[in-house]
Amino acid sequence: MDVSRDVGPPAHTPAMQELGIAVAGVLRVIYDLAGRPPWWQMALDEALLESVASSKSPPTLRLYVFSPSSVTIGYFQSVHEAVRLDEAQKLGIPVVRRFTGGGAVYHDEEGEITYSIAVQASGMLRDVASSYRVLCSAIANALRRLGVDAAPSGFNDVTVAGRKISGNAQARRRGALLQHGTILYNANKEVMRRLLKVHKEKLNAHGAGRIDERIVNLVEVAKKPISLGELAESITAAFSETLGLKPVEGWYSRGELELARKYVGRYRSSEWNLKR
Amino acid sequence: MPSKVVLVIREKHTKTITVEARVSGECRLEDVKITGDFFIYPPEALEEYERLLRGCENAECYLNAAAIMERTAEAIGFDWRLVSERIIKALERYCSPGQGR
Repeated sequence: MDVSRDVGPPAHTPAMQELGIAVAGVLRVIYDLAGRPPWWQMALDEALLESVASSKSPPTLRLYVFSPSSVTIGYFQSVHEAVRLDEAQKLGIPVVRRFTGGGAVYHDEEGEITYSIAVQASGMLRDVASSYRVLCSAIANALRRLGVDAAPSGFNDVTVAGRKISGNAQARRRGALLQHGTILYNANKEVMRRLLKVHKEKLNAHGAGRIDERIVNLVEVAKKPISLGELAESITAAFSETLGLKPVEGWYSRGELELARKYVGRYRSSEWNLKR
Repeated sequence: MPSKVVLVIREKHTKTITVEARVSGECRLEDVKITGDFFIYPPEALEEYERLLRGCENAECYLNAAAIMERTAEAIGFDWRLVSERIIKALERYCSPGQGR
């Protein structure tokens, strides 16, 4: 499926800098919720990291969904160990390797929202472990704003009553970092169970017998109905508060889209996706 | 003819780490592939560690590789020394007379 035309709006929208809008103290927020394939999502995230690392882009929060439903695997994972590729093929679900570490994730087109945050790794964000704590706390805060009793857990998870609702992973490049993560909203656990292979050692460590016992959806723990839009706004508010930056809605710059077009081929290639 | 040894490591302070080693008849590490859901910065450091491990035939070599990586890369959910120690232990068992092969 060629979706290169979908990456940006029909006409290029000038970035904040191009419009002369001051970017100091601003968190650019990109709501890109129409849904894109995983190779574009990874290419766009990598483009944001590269662009922030080159000081060409302001601190940026991006909210997005995968379409079609997809699986991403961590940079260091073996695709054969992490995913039942025969099931993925049967279900028409693409599998793409991320440029970040961590585990395999099922991105349900209708049951999950993903965020990425690209910023300079300074202050509390300089140290890797500390930056995970700070940014995962922002995700937990976003959920608590919606009345869900979430807390950071381990290195890179957010849990509700001991069950994982959000997994997060981070990459670093030339003094900048990009952390992305998923928030389970109403993901199909049965499909997830069919697709993802999890070592029994990992499940044992979390006291779970199966992957679907280890995770929880927002709709299961929310006290009232919460729309994806409300969740997206809450994530924006929480990151804005954590980073002390004013959220300003924006879109990709021309340079970021050019970079994403340069990177996308890698995320579609077997050489990359099957490399371990 | 090299034989394959597979280890799965999961400790409280680590993620799940899988080590696939190909070992020669003389108990030398011919090849190694390390995979898992951990985080290493910079990511290329894992390939460097695998490169340092290849050809190792004694404990000192495995531990040296870990010491080099501890100085040059940052790992979360991954423990260079622990992985080297587990490989040493597994190969000691595997290579002792009458065991494994």
